[in-house]
Amino acid sequence: MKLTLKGKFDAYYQRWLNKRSPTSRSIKLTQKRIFIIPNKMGLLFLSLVVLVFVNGVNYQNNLIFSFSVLLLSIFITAIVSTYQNLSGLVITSGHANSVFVGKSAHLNIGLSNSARKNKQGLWIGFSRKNASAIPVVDGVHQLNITYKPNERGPFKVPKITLFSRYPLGILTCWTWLRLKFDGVAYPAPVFVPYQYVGRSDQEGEEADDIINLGVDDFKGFRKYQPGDSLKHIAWRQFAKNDVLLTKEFEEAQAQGHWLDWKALPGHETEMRLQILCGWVVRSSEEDREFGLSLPGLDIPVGRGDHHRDTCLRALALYGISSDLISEGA
Amino acid sequence: MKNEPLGHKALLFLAVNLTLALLLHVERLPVWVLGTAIGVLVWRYFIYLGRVASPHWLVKGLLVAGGFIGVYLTYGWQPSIEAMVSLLIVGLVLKPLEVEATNESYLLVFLSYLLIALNFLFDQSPLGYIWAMVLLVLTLATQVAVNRGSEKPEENNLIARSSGSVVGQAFLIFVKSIPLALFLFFILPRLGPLWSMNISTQAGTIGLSSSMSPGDIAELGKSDELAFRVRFLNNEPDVKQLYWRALVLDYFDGEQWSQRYKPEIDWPPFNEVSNKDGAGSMPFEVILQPNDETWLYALGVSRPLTAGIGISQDGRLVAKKKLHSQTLYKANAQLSQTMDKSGLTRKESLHYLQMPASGNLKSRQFAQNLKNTHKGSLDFARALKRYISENEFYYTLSPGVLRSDSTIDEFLFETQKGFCAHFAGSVVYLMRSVGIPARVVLGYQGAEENPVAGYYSVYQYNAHAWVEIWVEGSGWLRIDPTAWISPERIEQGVESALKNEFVGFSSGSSWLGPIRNQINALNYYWNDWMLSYKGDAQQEFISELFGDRDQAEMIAIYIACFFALIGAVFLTLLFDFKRVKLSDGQKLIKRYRMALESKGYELKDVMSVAQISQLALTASPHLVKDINWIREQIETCLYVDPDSHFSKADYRKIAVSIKKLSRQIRKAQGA
Repeated sequence: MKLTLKGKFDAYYQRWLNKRSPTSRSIKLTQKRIFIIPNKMGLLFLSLVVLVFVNGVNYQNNLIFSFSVLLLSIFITAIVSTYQNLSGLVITSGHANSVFVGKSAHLNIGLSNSARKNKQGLWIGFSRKNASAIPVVDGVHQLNITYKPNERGPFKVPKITLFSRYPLGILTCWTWLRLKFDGVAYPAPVFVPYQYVGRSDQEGEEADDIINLGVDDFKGFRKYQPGDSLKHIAWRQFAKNDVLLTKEFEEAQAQGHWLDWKALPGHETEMRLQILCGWVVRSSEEDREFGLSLPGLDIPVGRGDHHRDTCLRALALYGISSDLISEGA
Repeated sequence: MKNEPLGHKALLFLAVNLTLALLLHVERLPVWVLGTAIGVLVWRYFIYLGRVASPHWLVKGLLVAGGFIGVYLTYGWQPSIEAMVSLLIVGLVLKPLEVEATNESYLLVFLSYLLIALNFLFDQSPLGYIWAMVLLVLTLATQVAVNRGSEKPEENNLIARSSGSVVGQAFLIFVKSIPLALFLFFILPRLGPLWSMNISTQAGTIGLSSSMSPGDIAELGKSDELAFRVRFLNNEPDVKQLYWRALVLDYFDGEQWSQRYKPEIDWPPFNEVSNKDGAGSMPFEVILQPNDETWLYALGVSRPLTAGIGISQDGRLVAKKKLHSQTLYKANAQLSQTMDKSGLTRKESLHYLQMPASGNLKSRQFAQNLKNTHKGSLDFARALKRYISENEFYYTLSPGVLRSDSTIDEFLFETQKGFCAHFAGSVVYLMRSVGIPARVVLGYQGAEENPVAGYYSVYQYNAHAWVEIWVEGSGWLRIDPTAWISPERIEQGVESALKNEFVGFSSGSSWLGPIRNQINALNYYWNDWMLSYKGDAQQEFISELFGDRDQAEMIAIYIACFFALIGAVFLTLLFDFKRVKLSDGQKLIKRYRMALESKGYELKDVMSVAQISQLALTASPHLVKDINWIREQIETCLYVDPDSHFSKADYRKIAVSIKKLSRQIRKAQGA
């Protein structure tokens, strides 16, 4: 009973919090979003005020009384200062690099302070315990926090807390940030040998063929085009002639190198995506030309880092959102 | 955010702060506490340097236990403020050994606040208060430093730069807190003690003692400590007539005079107190230094005007509780009245005629002989006065010790040197030996006027003893045998009477006098306002400020003021925006744009001066000369030399021509 009550309360609290601080790209901290409460040291400070007050009253000592009153108004000033230190700060979500599930992504967050006073003693993190300090913010400040996605798809960044105990450490003032980031979590790659499935015209014929993935023979140079893998740039030639050339290799199965959803009939959807992801990674490491075929979506054969990212993005967003796929392109 | 280790800056602040908080209490601390404090600070410093390891918990535990035992051995179980402070300081002193992280250092900071507050029990001077405020700001700074302590300065040099202003920040917090504190101080009603406190300071303040054996008051005579201050509300008194009655001694055991008879005390209820203003009355207001006793000072026949003060049958004013802090009270003095006019009870006569069964035979004989020739009580007193003034009696503060069993005989017929206690004691003895009821009164005589603030100070060196005899039909009459031998002693105060013996504090010195008066006036106002602002004084002040209002209105006013103050603080938040400083060129562009926009031109945000001018030109081609001139001026300022400033006259000239331009455009539009 107790647990469910607590559960109910938590759910209610979350709903209330979500309503108060909806997800967005840029958040300005106002009194609607800032929470402030005395912490353990604050309560201790208040009991100090009471102790001094009792001394003043019992000894009928006006000076001690005045001192207790002074301490009390210092506490109230501290409320204002602590609140002021957070208010007016604008937090914007910046770039986030897409990563595989389970790997760390850097979320770029921008803080901009339009107030006259510097913002000091700020801490940011997913929880109070794992927060890191932010240096004094005067004007604009950029910082990264590390996020490990555990589910493929667009980043579902949990709420981030920004808090401060400045200046006296007796009050904690915090806010919950629900920032939207563009990053995408790719499926964690699973590496299994590549299975070739022909295009629809040759369906079934060579389904079981296993193709050797090896280093191909060097064919010659061609002019560098944006999108070519950096690994294949002829750096020696570049050093000599100042001309960017790309090494070309003979490709045995250059045509029709398709990474196909249908090649993995016995697996579950997520597993299929993970295996496909592994293939994309491997193929791109080896700088092959490849295409990706998913139900309802074909990405034509291509190569290069950009092509790879498009394919991974398609895998990440498969079945979640189709209109997001092209966004990265 | 974990409990982070402290940075060296925070540690330094803590160390300085602790040392200063300790110095506040240094005079009343036992030596061993001081020694421990220094030892621990040095130890902590070596731990900080990394030369010594942090002590084992067992060592810390033993130290703490040792500290508590030490406090017990020094003070015993008798609770006193000193013991409490010592205990706190032992805790405070041993704590640094443990402090490595932020949370524990907050405790130290809070303990420092407490020590500053407790110091007011001992020191209530204005200078002490200022020093306490300085320490408060420092402690706040320490707290800010501790709060920042966990930040690593190498992370960002901005932190290193801004931490220089820790003290500045603390000061700002302090200043911002003052208005609210003042408001609360003036408005909050003072409560009575929550529980009775019988804790007294062990040091004991110098004052009158409750018994008198000649030799006692010699010490007092040389102390220039303040006993009390007094203000006369209506008429100025004659300083010679100021006999401040504190104690009445009735019992003599052959050596010592003491108070054995405890007459009834009348506690007039508050509402009866204030309206007894007969003719010849002299209302006065006393601010009394704490004397750790219940006695107050009465003048002539006094009636209290402050609630909670009792008046005893023998004319003393008494407080209900011992006075550990400065106290203000009012009373009304009737100098012409006498007590017990109607007669003494049997019990009273017994007490006031009491004498030891034996001893001082010579004195008894002398008194009897004198009485035989002078029958009346007053006659006898006059004869006594003649005898003392005509014989070689000297007034001195160092009369030497009287060793014999019959001290009165020895004084009257051998040494003949003494001070008020000798004379008063001997005269009472002589009176009683011939059947005249007599008693010794202890108190202060005289007062020193402070013309700056219009009050009088009474110092410990004003302590005095005199005699009262009871005369049929007249009641108790005051006689001052000390005045019989040395009239200056009474007329100009103890200083001039004893010029040879007093060197220390001559207030008569011509240039020091006014300064001393100023300082004393400051002290007086401080006492009158800061220390006594409670009860009646508070009521009076508030009704003076807001007028007489009923309670509901008063509460409404308080609440309004409180929220207005807090609102004012929050209002400062609104003005916390960066003001962008514009250069002269930018300001002119702004004016230029505004001038054109008000005439209906639509300007885009990103337009340059050239574009704006072009637009103006197409609309009003006849103004080409003005427009081009303005453009040229602004462009020169903006682009040719961005740092250049116009002289005031040039700036005005351009601004005026912009205005002229706008007027001309309007004219053109109108036409």
